[in-house]
Order: sequence, then C-alpha cells, then structure tokens
Amino acid sequence: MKKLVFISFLFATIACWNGAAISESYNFSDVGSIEIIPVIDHSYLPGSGEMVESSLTHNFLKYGFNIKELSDRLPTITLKEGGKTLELSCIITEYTDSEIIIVPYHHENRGSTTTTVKQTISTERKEDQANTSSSTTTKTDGGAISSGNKVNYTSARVGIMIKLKDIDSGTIVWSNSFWYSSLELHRATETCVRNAVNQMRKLFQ
Amino acid sequence: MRKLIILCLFGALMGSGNDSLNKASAAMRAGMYKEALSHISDAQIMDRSNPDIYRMEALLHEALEDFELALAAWKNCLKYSKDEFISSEAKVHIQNLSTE
Repeated sequence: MKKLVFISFLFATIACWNGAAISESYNFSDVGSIEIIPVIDHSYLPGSGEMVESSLTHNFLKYGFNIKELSDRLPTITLKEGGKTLELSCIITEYTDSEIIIVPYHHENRGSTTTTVKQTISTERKEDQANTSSSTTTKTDGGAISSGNKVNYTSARVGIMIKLKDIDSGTIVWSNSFWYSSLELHRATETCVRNAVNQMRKLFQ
Repeated sequence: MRKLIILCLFGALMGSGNDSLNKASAAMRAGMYKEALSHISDAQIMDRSNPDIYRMEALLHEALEDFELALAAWKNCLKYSKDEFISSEAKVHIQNLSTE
C-alpha cells in the first residue's frame, strides 16, 4: 500500500513538473527533419531572438544532431532521409538581463543562560558533622532580533516557449515552456535552451 | 574605468563595516564571485534561515560552476522559503542541477 502511494505521488510530481503537452497519437519516429523558424526578438532586448536561435542550433549540435544552415533555407536538423518535417517555433517570453533582487535580512541573537553554582563544605571535628551549603545563580539573556538594511544585486532571467508543428498536417505535436535564472544573461539563455533541447531530443530517441 | 570600479568597490567594502551582505552584494556587482561567497558565509552565520541568502549563494556557486554546492544551497533555499516564486525558482534549479 505504501509503495502504491509513493508511486502515485512520484507520477503526479513528474507529471506536474514537466508540463509538456504532447500529441499522443503522433509517431515521432517518422520525423525526418526539423526546421527552426527565426526567433523573434523580445521587446526588451534587440538581438535576443538571434541569441536564442544560435543557442538552439548549438545545443542540437552538442547533442549529436546533424544541422544544415543553407543561405536560402531555414536551419534544418536532419534526423533521417525522407520522413515528415516538423517546424520548431520559439517565442521568448522573458528576457531580463538585470533584475534587481532585494534581500531583506535580520540578525538573530538567540540569547544565553548562565548558571553559577557555589558550594562550600565546613567540617566540625567535635561532632563529626559536615555541613554543605550551596548557592545557585542563574542569569538569562533573552536575546534580540535586529533588522538590517536591505541589500540588492542583479540577476538575469530567460523564459521561452517552444512548439513543434507537423508541416503537412499543421498539427501541433509538442509544446512546452522553460525558464532559468542566473547572475549572467548568457548562462541563463544557455541553460534554458539546453533544458528545452534535452527534453525534445528524448522524443526522437 | 577599471580603476574607478576598483575604487568604488574598495569604498563600498570599507564603508559598510561589518555588514557582510553589503560586502557580498558589492563584490557580486563587480563580478568578484569568490569574494562574494566568503562574505555570504559570514552573513549566514548571523541569519541561518534566510532563503534569499541561500539563493545568492546558489547563484554564485552556479556562476563558478560548483554545481554540487549550488544544489545544496538551492535545497536550503527551498527548505526555508515561504515565498512561492522563490520556491519555484529553487525547484527549477534543483531539477536542472540534479541532471547535470
């Protein structure tokens, strides 16, 4: 029973996490090539489209795909001779090169408790008696929470949405969105696109 | 220009006294990520449950390509975060770094 609950939870988590939409009836093994259509710039940053497009071809190449970039045609990934052709479109949903992050912070002094025990022993020989006296002093410091000023730094964030469309039928066969943040814009772009390509390549394995 | 940046950074570092986070953010702005990390360690001693500090630390480790340390920092960020946005960011990074 425990195993069943765990497996159900795992499936639910994975399903929610990936969030890819896929046409289950589509046979991806029939695909022969993928055309990457030009990526339009994000309004915030001219040139962002080209950066994302270059990163797409770079990552496909990195994962061992064969890419052709002929001057009169769109960049094309060849999977096999013949077969169906998919069109890969990418929309840049977010392209922020310097988002200010404000960090509120406080210093917490948890306080302390000091206990001092004083013990004295006096022995009286005549009566064979020993008297012991002791005193305890406890000092408690309640601590304090002091708030500091806010500090800030900048980080970059890139978000993309990718769709794969069958050119012949016009059917959208797969789509998903990705985003990533980093201190540097190029790293955010690279990782975001790499995650997308990594997920897409699994369709054709 | 470089001298001016160094001078500004030096001023910021000296002027902020014991404020570790101020030093860390000044170092981050100057691209001195290793220095920033050492100040963040000091800040964490004073405030161990601040998810924003763990987020800073994680982003710095990622920039320095210390992916295991970045993963640990994102996990701490997620542990202490009550902000939905920061939590979702931490989850995205944990997912990505786990497959590195």
